[in-house]
Amino acid sequence: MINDTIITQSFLSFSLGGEIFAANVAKVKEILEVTKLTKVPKSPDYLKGVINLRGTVLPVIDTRVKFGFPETEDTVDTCIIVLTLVIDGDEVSVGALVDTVSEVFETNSEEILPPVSIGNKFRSDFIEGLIKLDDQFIMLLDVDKVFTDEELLVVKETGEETTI
Amino acid sequence: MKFTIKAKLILATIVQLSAALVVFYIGNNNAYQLNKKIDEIIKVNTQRINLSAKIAEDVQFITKREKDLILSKDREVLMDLVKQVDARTEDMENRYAELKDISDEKGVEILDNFQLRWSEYTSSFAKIKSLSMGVKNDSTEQLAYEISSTTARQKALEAVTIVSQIVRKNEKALEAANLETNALYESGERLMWIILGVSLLVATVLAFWIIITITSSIHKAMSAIKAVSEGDLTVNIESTNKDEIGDLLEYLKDMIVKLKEVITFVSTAADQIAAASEQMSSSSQQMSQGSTEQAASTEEVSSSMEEMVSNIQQNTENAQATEKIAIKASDDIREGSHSVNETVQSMKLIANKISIISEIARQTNLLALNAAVEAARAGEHGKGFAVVAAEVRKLAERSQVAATEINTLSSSSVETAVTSGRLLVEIVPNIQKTASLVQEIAAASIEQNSGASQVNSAIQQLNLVVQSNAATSEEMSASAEELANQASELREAIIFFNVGNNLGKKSRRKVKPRKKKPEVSEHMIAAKSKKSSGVVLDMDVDDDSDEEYEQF
Repeated sequence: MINDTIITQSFLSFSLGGEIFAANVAKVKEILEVTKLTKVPKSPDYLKGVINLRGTVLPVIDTRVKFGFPETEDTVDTCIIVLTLVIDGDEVSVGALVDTVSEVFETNSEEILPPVSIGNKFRSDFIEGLIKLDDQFIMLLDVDKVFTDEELLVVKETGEETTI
Repeated sequence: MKFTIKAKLILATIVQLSAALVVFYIGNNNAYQLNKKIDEIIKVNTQRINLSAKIAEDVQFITKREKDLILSKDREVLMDLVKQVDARTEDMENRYAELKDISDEKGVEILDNFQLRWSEYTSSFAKIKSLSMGVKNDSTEQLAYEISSTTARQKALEAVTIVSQIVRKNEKALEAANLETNALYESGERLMWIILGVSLLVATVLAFWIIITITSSIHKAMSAIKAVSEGDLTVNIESTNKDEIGDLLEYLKDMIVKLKEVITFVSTAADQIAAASEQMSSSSQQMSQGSTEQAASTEEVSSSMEEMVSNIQQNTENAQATEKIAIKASDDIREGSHSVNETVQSMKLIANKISIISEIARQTNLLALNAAVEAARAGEHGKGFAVVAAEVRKLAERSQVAATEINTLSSSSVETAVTSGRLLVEIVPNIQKTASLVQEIAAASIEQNSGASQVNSAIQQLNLVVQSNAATSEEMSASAEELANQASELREAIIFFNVGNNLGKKSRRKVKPRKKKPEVSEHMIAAKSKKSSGVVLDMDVDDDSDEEYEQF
């Protein structure tokens, strides 16, 4: 089933602001329920806070703010996806707050459409491609690109600070 | 100035009375004269005769004693004789005095003469007495006897003659008185006869005059009244006499006029009454019919009312039943409300439990996702696990969906139940209100029932009244007919009077259609009998009135 041209990849789909996004499972470490968030003073507004993840400090980013969606209250379905990002060669764990987590699905690379202009809503550079599912599109996020350096730096710093 | 019957009668009476008075006066006067004469005769002449006779007797008595005196020898006898003579003499003197008192001049003269003689005799007697009383012998006796048979005897005789003169004189006077009285009587009788004749003549003339005038007037009045009594009011009355009968005739005239008016009025009134009573009869018949219909209607109303009463009773019962039901419903609803509350609690519990399940499902889903992520990251090795994880996730998802659905349903059910409970709780006072209202309705129905019963009784009473009204109306109708009959009878009775217009005919025409009763007025029969009794009818009073005359 696996060949060079056609690579089957697993993605985790989640919804955010009514749109469905997907992230490569390889980047996903785990999915968490929203627990008590510790606010970090003087942090950027997209940094929701930090949580204690089995002894380590995990910065949680409010993806809605990050993506420019209006901020809403958390629901029971609100989840934190723990992503493993590589920043400057260092692996950094970051929690991304999403509305709901849908499922893990597999898809061929062929089915991934290149990202086209989808208006000015999103910066297309962190959208890896589009996956057509039924009658709607799932936006495949390039997780590494979603968070800019300085952002992640903050995250990294935060993580380091907290770790320390 | 009227010369009334009264005046006439008074005049006649005065004339008669004056004649009688004149007669009385004359008669009385005569009687008085006669009485006076008789008195005179009795008191004077007769007395004179009487006294004269007595005196004569006394004289004879004394002369006789004188003889006895001469003859007697006995002293005692003599004394007794003397006594007798004295007593008698005294008596005689008394009589003499009496006679003298009642004597006239001539009589006194005669008496004086007598006195003279008597005194002469007395002296003679005294002589005889003394002779007789003395020693008696033949000579004295002789002397006495002589005296006695001569002087004394002569004187006594003369005295007696004189006295008898008086008697004779008086007898003559009596005779004269008799003649006088006879003349008086005759003249009085003649005068009375004359006056009687005159007064009789005058009275007869007066009586005839009065009788003639009165009878002529009365005859007129009588004929007029007879005409009226026969019903002829057209009679022409002429009154020329200026007396009471004339007045009577005037009044009769007035009376006839009035009677005419009255009869005309009565006749028209009778017509009107007849018409009115006919109308009344028909009206009252209509009224009677109406009353009967009314009675029928009333009975219908009564039966309707009874139905209504039964309906109302039914209503009352229904209302009472409804009330019970409402109370029960209220209780049930309260219970139901309680149940609903319990249900709500249960639902909430269920929701709670379901949320737990939902939570579990969500966590399971999350776990499955994590597992799937792990499996995906494991690559080829985790393929089988990925399938299982996907299945688990699907189940969890389905569970969650179901739980969510249940949750939604239960929450909506809870909502519904709460609403129901609220509504039920709200319903309870409404139902209680309903119960009380129904109770009021029941009470009202009971009242209505009694009211309807009262109305029913009132209607029954009304029915009675209406029936009695119907009867009364019928009676009234009969009365009206009776009245009409009476009016016609009255009219027929009035026809008796002839007032000189076509009243009778008119009445007759009107009367005819009415049914005739067998007892048609005794007036008519009376009139008939009167007419057949053959009184003189005043036929020539008014010729045209005969045309209207009705023969029954």
